[in-house]
This record gives sequence, C-alpha cells and structure tokens, in this order.
Amino acid sequence: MLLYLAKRLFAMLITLVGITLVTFFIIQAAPGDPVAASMGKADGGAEAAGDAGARDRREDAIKTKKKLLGMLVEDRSVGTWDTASSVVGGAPPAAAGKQLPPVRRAGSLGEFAQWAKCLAASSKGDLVFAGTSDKLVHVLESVDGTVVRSISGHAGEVWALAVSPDGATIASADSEGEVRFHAVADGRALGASKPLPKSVHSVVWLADGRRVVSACDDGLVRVHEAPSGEVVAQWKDHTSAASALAVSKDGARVWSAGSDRKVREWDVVAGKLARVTGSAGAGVRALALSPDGSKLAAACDDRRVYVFDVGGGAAEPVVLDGHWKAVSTVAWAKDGRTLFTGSRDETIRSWDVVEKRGVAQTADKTGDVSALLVSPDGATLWSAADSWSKVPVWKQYGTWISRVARFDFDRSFRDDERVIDKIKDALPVTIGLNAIAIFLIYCISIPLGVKAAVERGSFFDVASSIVLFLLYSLPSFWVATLLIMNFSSERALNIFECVGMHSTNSVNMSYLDWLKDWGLHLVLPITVMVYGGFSSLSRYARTSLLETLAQDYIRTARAKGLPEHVVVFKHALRNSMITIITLVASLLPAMIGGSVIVEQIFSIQGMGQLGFQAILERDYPVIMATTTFSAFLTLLGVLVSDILYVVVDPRISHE
Amino acid sequence: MSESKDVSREDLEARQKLQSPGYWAIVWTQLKKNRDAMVGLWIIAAIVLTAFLAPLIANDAPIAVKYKGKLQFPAFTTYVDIWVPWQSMRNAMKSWKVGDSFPFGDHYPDLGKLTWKQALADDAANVSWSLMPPVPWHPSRFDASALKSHPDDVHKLGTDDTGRDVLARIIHGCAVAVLVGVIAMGIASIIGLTLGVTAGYFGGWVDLALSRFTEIIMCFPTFFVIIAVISFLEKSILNIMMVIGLFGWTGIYRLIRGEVLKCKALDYVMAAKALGVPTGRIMFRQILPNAVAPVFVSVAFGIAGAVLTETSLSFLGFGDTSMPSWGEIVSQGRQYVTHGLTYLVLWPGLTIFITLTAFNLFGQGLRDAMDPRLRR
Repeated sequence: MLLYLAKRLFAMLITLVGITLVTFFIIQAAPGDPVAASMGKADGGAEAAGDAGARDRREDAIKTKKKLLGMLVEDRSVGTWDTASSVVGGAPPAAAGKQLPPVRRAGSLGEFAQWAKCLAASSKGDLVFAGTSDKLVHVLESVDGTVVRSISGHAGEVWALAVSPDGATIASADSEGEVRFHAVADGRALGASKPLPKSVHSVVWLADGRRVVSACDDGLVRVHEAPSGEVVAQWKDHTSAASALAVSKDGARVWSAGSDRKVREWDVVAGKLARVTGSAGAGVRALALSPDGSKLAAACDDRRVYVFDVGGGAAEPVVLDGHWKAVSTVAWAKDGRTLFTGSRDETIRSWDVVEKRGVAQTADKTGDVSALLVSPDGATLWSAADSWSKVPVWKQYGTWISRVARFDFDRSFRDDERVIDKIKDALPVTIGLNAIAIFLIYCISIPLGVKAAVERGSFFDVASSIVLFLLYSLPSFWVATLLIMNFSSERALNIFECVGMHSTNSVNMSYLDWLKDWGLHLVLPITVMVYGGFSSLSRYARTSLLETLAQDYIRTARAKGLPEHVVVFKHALRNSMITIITLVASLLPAMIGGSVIVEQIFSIQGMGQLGFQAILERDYPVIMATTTFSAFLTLLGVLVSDILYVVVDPRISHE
Repeated sequence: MSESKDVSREDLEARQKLQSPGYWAIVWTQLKKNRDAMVGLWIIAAIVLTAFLAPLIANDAPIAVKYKGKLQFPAFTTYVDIWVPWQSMRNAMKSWKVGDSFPFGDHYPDLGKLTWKQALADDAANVSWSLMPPVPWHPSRFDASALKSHPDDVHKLGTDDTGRDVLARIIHGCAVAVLVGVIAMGIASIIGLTLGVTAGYFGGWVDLALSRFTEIIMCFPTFFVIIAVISFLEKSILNIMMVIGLFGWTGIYRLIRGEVLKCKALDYVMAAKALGVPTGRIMFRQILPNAVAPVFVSVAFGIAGAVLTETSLSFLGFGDTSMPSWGEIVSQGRQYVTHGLTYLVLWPGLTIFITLTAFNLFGQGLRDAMDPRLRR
C-alpha cells in the first residue's frame, strides 16, 4: 500500500510538472511584452513631448523588473562579432529604406562582476583588456575568454585603456582622474599619475612608447611620462571637457575632441595646436583614425558619425546618419573603408564610408554600447556594452519550479502582491463552494438513482431520467443569467443576492444575520453548480444498484424472507455505492473549470475569477499559480478517490 | 458450366447478406428503434440544414431579384462572409466576375447608393419580381431605428444593443455552431486517432510516453487554458476551433488505444503481418476501421461539448466578434440585465440548449445501439 502510494505520488508530481511546463511554454510563446504592458505608459505627457529621459527611465524600470522576475540577466561579458558578414562586400547592399542585413553575435569573452566600459588589445591580438566600473582592469585570452588576471588599484571606474606599442605596459585611466600603468605580464603596478582635477575619458600611447596622452574633463590634454605618470606637457585649447583622443601611426600628431564640438589636431613635437580639423554637430564621444591614417571618424552626441579627411582632402566631413540615439564609440575595420559604430540606441552598425551608407546592423539589442575594438587581424569585433540577455525559457521554468518547490509563487505583475497571498484568499472560496456543491449533488442524486432503480420502469424512473438528462444539457451561463434575471432583479422577484459572497455591510451584522446573508448569496451560484452533476451521478447510482440487486446474495437475502427495505438499504446499497464514491474525482476537474464561469457571473472572488482576471491582465505569475493549484486539486481528487476505492472495498488491492 | 458456377456464387453471396447484416446496418436498425436518438438526429439535421441555408433564410438582400431587367442573386454573397474563414480569400471571391455581374460580390452598379431593401420599397417600378428571405434581416448589419427593441412584427425576436436582428443572428449562429463542432472535433479526432493507434499498436515506451502526455492534458484545467490561449491569440473563429480541438482529444485517445490493444492480438493482424503489409497500412487500414466504432459516440458528445465551450467563450467575451454566436447574444442580455431584456437571453439560450440536447440524445442513442447487451 505504502509503495503504491509512493508510486502514485511520484506519478502525480510528474504530471504536475508536465502541466506547469506546458502552461509555461504556452504563456511564454504568447506575443507582446506583458511586463511593459503591466507597467503602463511612463507618463503620457513626457511620452508625447518626446522626453527621451522619461522613456529611458521607463525602459530601465522594465529591465529591472524583468531582472527581478528572472526573465533577463545582465550580460557582463565582452561580445564578439564576426566582421566578415558586416564589412563592405560581406553583405548584400540593402535597398533604400529597407532594414539593414542583421548580424548576430558570435560569442562572448569572459564574465565580470560589472559591465565593461572600455577595451584594448595587445598588438598580436592574443590578449584583450577590459576596464569595468568596479575599478578593475581585466586581462583576457582572446581565444577562449579566460580571465588571466584582474588588476586592481584604481579608485574610480576604469574609463580608458591603452596598450603600449611594445605590448608590455597597459595604461588605464579612471573617473577619479588617475592614469595608472601596469605590467601586462604580471599585473604589477608600475606607476601612477597624481590625480587630475577631473575624470579622464581617454588615453593613447605615443609611438615612442615612453609617453601617454590623456583627455580630461577639465578641458586639458596632458602628456604623461610613462610609467611614472608625471605630466610633462599640458595642451590647452578646448573650451569644455575633452573626452576623445586619436593618435597618428608615427606619433607626430594627436587629435582630440570633446563636448565643445570641435576636433583639434596637435603637433606633438612642437607641443601646440596645429589646426582645428573640423566641427561636429554636438559633443564628440570618441575618435578613431583609419588604418591608413587618412580619415578620422568622430562619434557624436547628435546621433551622427562625422568622418573627417585628415590626409589633406575634402574639408567637409562625411556624415553618417542612422542611429537614433547618441553614438558613443567608433572603430575602423582593417579595410579602411568599413566603419563600426556603437550607440546608446543599443545597436552596433557598420558603414561604407565611401558610399556613405549603412552596411549591416546587429539583429538583437546589444545594450548601450560603450566601446568597440577591432582585433589586430581584422576578423573579429569586440564590444563592451551595458547589455542584458534573455534567459532561455527552460531556464526560467527551472527557476520558477525551484521557487514553487519552496511555495514561493513570486509576485503579481500588476500590484506586486505575493501571489501565494492571493491564492490563500481565493482558494478557500472555491473549495468551499465546490464542497457544498458536491455534497448537495450526492445528497440529491443518490436517492433519486436508488428510487429509480427500485421502481425500475415506473413513471418516476422514466420521468426523472428525462428531466435529469435535460438538466445536463442546460448551459450553465444561460441558467445563471436567467436565475439572476428572475430571482435577483428589481424587475422580477428579488429574493437572492447575485454579487459576491457577502453584502458590503456584512461585517456589522449579528452572527445570525451574517449567516442569512451568506445563505442568500450562496443559493444562486450553488444552484448553477449543482444541477448539471445530477444526471451522470444518479444514472451511475441507478445502474450500480441494479447490478447489485441482480447478485446471488440479494436473492438469498430475499429468499430468507428479509423485508425489501432491509434488502435494498442494508444489503444492496452499501455495496453499490463503491463506484459512486470514486466519481468525486471525475466531478472535480469539470467543477474547477466551470467555476470560471460561475465566479465570473456572480462576481465571486475565487480561483476562477483570480485566474480569469490574471489572463485578461496577462499576469503570468498568477496564471501559473492558478493553473498549478487547479491541476493539483484535480490530481489530488483522483488520488483520494482511488484510495477511497481501496478503503471501502477490501477486495480491491493495488499491490 | 462456368455460368452456373457464377450464378450459384451470387446466390450464395445474396443469401449471406440476407443472413448477416453488417455492423453498421445493425447499429442503424437499433438506432431507428430508439425514439429519443431519432428525435436528436432530426434536430441535428434541422440545425445543419439551417446552417447551410442561413443566408437564404435570414438576409437583408433578396434571394433572387429582377432589377432593371437584370437577374441578380444578392443573398448568396453572405455565404462568402460566413463560410470562407480568410479575409483575403473572401475578397478574392467577392471580386470574381462572371459576365458583367459578381455572383459572390456586393457590387451592384444599378443599385446606386440604395440598399436592396430601399430599392425594393422605393424603386418598385424597376423591380420586375423579387424573392426575399423569410427573415428580412442580415445578422451583422444594424437597424439604427431599432436599438434593443423588444420582439415585435418587424423584428420577430427583437434586436440587440446595436440594432442587429436577434432571430437572424440565431439562424446564422447555427453555421458557427456547426462549424465549431465539426472542425474542433475533426481536429480532436485526427489527433486522438493518430496518437491512440500509435500508442496501442507499438505499446512499450511509446505507449507509456503518450499515455503520460495524455494524462497531463486530461488534468489540465482545460477551459482555463483555452481562455488563456484565445486571449493571447487573435480572437478568430479558426483559432477558437483549433484550441478546442487541441485540448479535446483525450477521450478519443483512450477509447481507440483500448480498442487497438484488443484488435492487435487478433488473427487478421497477424495474417497481415505475415503477408508483409507495411506497418502504417496495418495500423490505419486494417486495425483502425475495426476499432473506430466507439469513437463516434465520443465525437457526438464532443460536438456538444465544443458548442458549449464556444458559446461559453463568446459569453465571456472571448468569441469572434465578426461571427454571430449564440453565446454573445446571451452575454448582451447579461450586460443589460437591469433593462430586463429577457428575449436576448431566452431565445439564443434555448437554441443552445436544444442543440446540446440533440447531440447528447444522439450520442446516448448511438452508444446504446452499439452495445450488444442492449440489443432489442
């Protein structure tokens, strides 16, 4: 018996897992974004006025909520992309006005505690460096993404990185204005500058490998001695923060740009401003010099990319327009014609600079891109972005089920209330209603069936079977509506109540009044739940009793002269009731399913109503919880009736 | 010599036929003796007939009319609206042209801006003769002059809140009910039969896996999940039929699996195997026809269940609003319960009730007719 029970419970568990799994996939496959929908519009006014800030805040809030719900995780690795399909000639040109060909992420390197903000690579391309906002510089193998070491020492977020020409030293700058030097080989600190007055956004090495140039928020471009970090020169011309730097191959010229829009060229040898290269439409976030040194690309806050000809050609820059938020970083492909740009609009695009058109675009959202880097061999593009990745549905299901195992059904999307509390309120209502209904069904239909069997073929037998059959075919929503119209309406009889389980003022009632009020509310819903169940049950009771009455021992009982009522009620009835008991199980699923309609019509706050509302509002945790509980109740009913079967009839054994 | 042999064989066959009628002949004889089942069958026939003739019974355009010397059949356009589920196909059929008339379209250049009704009433001079449907109202066009009007001579069963004729909607609702019942149970039967035969025939882990899966679907709070799926999808009648079918096959599966298990052990299956008949052919051509009988009972009850589910969905507001559904009319009665529009609840509900009763009666009769113990 115990073994049987264990087996049954195990099977039940499997079925329950199966049911929840199917439901989970159904609701996950549904189109649309329920989380965004449940959070409503940010605020209508801001949205209408095109307030980008409000929209951003809303998007961030949605992401945070999805993270809490386990639908998104922060992806804190360095993304890798194959450049082959996104360089000029690698993808078929897109027709005007059409979507650019989508590029998918090839893989990722490493995994940090915080998002990476800047990238650098060794000249051979075997090592990648990433600076993160938790004040660390990570050294990664570019082949498999293993983090070789994480270098600490910075006091602020690491915003800029540069590897020395000989590849032995890494210079890094942070938000506290410190430029530090570390040995690539063992990560040992070689030196550090005195903290500059403001944050440093960019550092570059000069070709001699002994000097580093930094761009600081105070508008000064400084030349540092490496590795001591000592400032040997200050170039002053920017009228506000300097944030981007680029250096020519020979190290003779340095370009700088910042929030004052102008791109300036500095003569390193003379240590002074050579010329103003040109002007962008807004603050410049990043600069990149093409491999042949003839073009300088500037990522600009006005959503455009400006490509200046610094080889002495055209004065007017080439403008690349297509991103819909500020462009934050640029990188050249090896062919010198394709430009990669990363933007706050969560995409990376590639451009054909000669034909001034987009070539390809990332297929999925990447998150705010903060740095791009093309590998020295030109085959790979590395990206650092504040990216989020979707958790696969099966993983989400795993999280969900492991929470459910601890009776944690999460919180409702709608009002952040704990789902289990909602269930605790609703479940007793539904179980109570169903218990009363099933009790009444048994109380009424068994005597009917017994009477029909005893008086087999009589008028009562025929009439009751017809009436019960007709009752069975009555649609419950119709009966409910008719009952409300006729018994709870001011136009007809107004005896019963049809809204909820209690009147609004029921808390102030005396106990008797409260009971009466409750009863008046119960009559109509219980009637609707009950009438359909009579037919099958009384039919079973009738057939079962007839079969028992045909048994030999009944004939014996009659032969020894027992009165008929003793024969029927004492000898036959008990034995014939065995099958009837097991029918509780078959009633349960239909009743729980039917409670959706009854509870909806009579505004009863039970499981059916809870689930119905959740479906309308696409409140996934509540939908999952109600499905689970309904399925659990059904399975429990089946199990209980099977056990009852054994208990009432010792001849049956499940061994 | 050969002639006489042929004659004697025919004679023998005729005599055999006389002696032992086929299985379905017995069932039919038994069914005919069951008065309830026959009543059910007649009602079903009436509903199906109404469904097919609905555009000619209730429509606001004449079945046939000779207008300005041209013979037109405008009522047939409604067939396209009801029976063609895809919008694009509907449009294609409506623009189909024979000569200079559109047999399924609603382009009548002669009519100008008049509707057919106005033409018949105001422009009678040009109408040589016309044949209007007995219920002169379209199920989804509005009579703006009669919103929520109680039953009277113009609208025999009244109008709903947007002025649509309730009788016309009930008549056209037959088509929806028949469509839902037949297609949903068709889908359910295909799934149930295929899985059932597979599980029964192969047994072993295939049976185990399929039976577990069936158990999962059986324990689903089905109605709840149907609501969920419908609310996530587009609320079209096709989706509703599909979802009802997808969750309604478990009973058929269990029946057919049991029957196949029985049939599998019989000699003719072994004979077929010995002859090298391919497995698929044994499963679906040899075993299935011998095992399929009890499924018909299940399908009869299933159609009633599908109609009930569809009307309940419409009642809860998850129906296809472009189709006239009985449940939707009842839900309007419920919505305006304080207005006391009893006719909105009574008549469509009664139609649902009669339909369900008919299918249940027929199903019960069929079950009795197939049960050899109950043979009369």
